[in-house]
Amino acid sequence: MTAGPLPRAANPFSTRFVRPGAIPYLFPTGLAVDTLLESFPPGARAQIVGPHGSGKSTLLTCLTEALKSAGRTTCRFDLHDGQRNMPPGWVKQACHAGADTIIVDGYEQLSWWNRWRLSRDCRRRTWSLLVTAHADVGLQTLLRVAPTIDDAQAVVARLLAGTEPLVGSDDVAECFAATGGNLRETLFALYDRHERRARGANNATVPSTPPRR
Amino acid sequence: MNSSPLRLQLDDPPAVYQPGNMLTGQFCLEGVTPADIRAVEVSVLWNTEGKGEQDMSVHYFERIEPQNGDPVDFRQPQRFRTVLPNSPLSYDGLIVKINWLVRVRVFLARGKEIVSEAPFWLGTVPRASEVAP
Repeated sequence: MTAGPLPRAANPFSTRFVRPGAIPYLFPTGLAVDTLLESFPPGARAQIVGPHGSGKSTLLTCLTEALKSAGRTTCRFDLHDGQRNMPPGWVKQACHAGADTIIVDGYEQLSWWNRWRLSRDCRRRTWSLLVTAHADVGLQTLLRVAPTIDDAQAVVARLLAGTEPLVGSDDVAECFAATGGNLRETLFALYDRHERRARGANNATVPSTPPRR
Repeated sequence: MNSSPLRLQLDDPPAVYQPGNMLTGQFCLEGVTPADIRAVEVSVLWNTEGKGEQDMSVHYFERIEPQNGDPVDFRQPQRFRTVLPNSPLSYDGLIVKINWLVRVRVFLARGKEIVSEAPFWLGTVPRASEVAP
């Protein structure tokens, strides 16, 4: 029989562990989700500003859950790959959902015209609007996110809890510096390091033990 | 120590299953009030894992709703069986992996849920190795 690969423990930096919602947003000292919600009353239009990979989407997911818990009905749209328009039928979708809060991740990708239309549609229907953007887009700033090396270490410590750590704090510091403080890219780089070391530590080729779930 | 009331096991699992092999197994549930069990789902599925978006597909699915039919005594072993498909084969790649598993989900009253999974290997695709730059 041809030997198959050996199932190994899951890589703690896999998408399923690091995607927004899988790990909680780590708020800066003195700030909590409730504080942000107080700054975002019904009808408000606000932005979360930060560079690529800084945790905006994770924060947005955290806020979305908190808004739902507070009785708000949200409708979220994630814009990707230079999407210049809101998705077709988004107003109908939001109306159908009974939304009172529109959430747009990647707002800066919309054209100026479509930003204006989005704001207008929200104003007309008294919907709140919460967006993420890489730079100030002229809305009330709820939070500027800029992860520090301490944030990165804290996130990694949380991911590695209960696992056999194959990367350490030096790895985190190196990857964080190499990616210019991009937390998402740091986690991807750590995925690669973990993967290489896991393979180096485990050269068996016949499955014997199940992977961690 | 496994303290889960849900026990899931495959029958004499070989090191590697091949496409077309029969996968059989059983599960049982102990320490749970039968009236609390809303439904039990048994799935044989694959999913991907790695740096990209996750993908998955269900090969075999069975849902048992005790309150909508004959009561089932889940303290007794409940059997499942399915013939494994030709693809996708399990794969241990650097940036993506394909995992096969049996998953049993027990839906209880008040939204509680118990899950147990039994991973297995399908096919003999060699593990990927890193190419030196």
